[in-house]
Amino acid sequence: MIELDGVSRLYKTVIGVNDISLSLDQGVYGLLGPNGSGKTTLINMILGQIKPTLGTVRLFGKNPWRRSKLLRRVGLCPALEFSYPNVSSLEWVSYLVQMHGFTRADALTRGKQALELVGLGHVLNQPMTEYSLGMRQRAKLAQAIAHDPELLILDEPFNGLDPVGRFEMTALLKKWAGEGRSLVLASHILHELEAVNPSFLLIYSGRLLASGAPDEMRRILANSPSVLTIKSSDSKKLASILADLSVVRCMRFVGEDRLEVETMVLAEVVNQLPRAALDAGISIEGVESNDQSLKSLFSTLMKIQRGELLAGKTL
Amino acid sequence: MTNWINSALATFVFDVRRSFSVHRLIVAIGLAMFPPVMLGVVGQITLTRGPIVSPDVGQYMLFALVFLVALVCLLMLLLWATPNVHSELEGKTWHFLVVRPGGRIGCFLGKYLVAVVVSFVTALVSLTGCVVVVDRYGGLEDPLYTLGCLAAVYGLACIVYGAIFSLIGTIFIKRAMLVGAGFLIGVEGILAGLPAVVCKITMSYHLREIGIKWLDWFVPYSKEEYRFQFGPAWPTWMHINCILLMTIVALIAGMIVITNRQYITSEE
Repeated sequence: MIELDGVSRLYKTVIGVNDISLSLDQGVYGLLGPNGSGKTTLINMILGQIKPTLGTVRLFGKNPWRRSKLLRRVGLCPALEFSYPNVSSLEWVSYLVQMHGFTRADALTRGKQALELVGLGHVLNQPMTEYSLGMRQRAKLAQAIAHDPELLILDEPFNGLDPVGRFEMTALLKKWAGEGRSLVLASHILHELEAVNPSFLLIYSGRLLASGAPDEMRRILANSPSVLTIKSSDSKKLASILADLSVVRCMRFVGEDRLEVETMVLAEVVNQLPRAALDAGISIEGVESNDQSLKSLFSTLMKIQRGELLAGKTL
Repeated sequence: MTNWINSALATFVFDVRRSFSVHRLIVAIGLAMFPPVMLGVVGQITLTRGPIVSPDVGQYMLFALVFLVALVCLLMLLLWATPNVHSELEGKTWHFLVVRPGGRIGCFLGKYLVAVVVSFVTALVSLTGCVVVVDRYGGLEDPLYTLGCLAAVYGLACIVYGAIFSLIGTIFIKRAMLVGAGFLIGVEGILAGLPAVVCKITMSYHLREIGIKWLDWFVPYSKEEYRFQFGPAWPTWMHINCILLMTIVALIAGMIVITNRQYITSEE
């Protein structure tokens, strides 16, 4: 379905995407990476909106650049927030469906069906400027699915959705994938993607660091250290106590009153910290988990790439 | 091809509908009323200073009419045609359009159509007001004929300048309006006024020739002076063909640019 062979994209001297090769068959994929990691650039290249500086891209077996007919088979929900004054979601979605070659009557019917599917059936004639962020997000999804594409690409689809909205969106995407259609979800939040259970593609600094099934990602995650930032009345004393704990990998001072603790067993540190602090007469003023399982994961993967870490165990 | 036409018409309908707001309507009416009001004020001042004696006064009124309405018409075209790509990029709606088979060209042609129709309607309203005002001061022999001729000239002007500005909009994204204004002053103003062969590549030369043919209007020259400087007259169909050819060339060039260019939004 999607094939990339040694694809790189430069924006003048900045590397947007760096030597990515992959081949994706029909299925559900989660493109995971922090903001600015090259996800949107990659999507734009897959859809033929920008040309790779190096390498080749194939979509459904063809080079997508200037092959606009291929786009009939794809639905895109970009991450961009937009605003059209005086326009209802039905007008907007049906207008975009017409761009696929449907008649106005067909486009209106499809637009209406898509909006009902995403739960906007009761407000489809209301101006979109009156919509909440979550409602606009759903309207964006509606325009992507209204022409019934084979492949749906969603860039940060959960942005602005409340928990109920997230749940509904997840259910919708699961249903979509369950019908045997393909889905590529791009996000910088791991648990959002996990809910749809995709195969992961991890991208960082324009590079594809890892790819694989959810279980494989969990295995890598299990080997990623967690970081705790502890604010206390006496950081130095706390550091000397924590140094005795075998589960602490390393520590560093952050300013006068904060201590950053890196551990492979977060729960163990959290369990032992209150007793240790109490015994030493140190008052703990705050504990922050930088969790960011994703940050840790990328950090681990970067170390693996640099050869500082073997996949699965620390060097 | 059918998809391009359908997409262009869809864009036209969508853009007209979404652009219709009280604020924009007031701006358009304000612009359209500017020439008749100006001409009315000039006419009123002239009358209060005594009876009009110059036989050329009608011709000068016509000159002012043509100039002022041209200003309105071109300003509307600049406002509507040049930001064709920029407005979508700025509004962050570009990516929604271009991932459709008819997206890029449909957007280009649809916005061109909107620019032509809106500008022409504004020019026509303005023109009608001006003809009524000028006729009130006895400057026109046959107001309806003058209105018809000028409407046709402005129609052609909207068609060709709309295409040129749309092309400019696809090439110069951020400064399209400025480049468009520069093109008007440099090429269609200064170059078209040069009594040399090079002026024949400008559209205002052809539009002027059509106006001269249909309205027998030579202010600020005499007929002989004008022909001496700008050469013998061509048949009207030649001028119309030149204008239509330029329109087609500009539209095709615009379609090629918009299809091949990799537009990047500020976020990227």
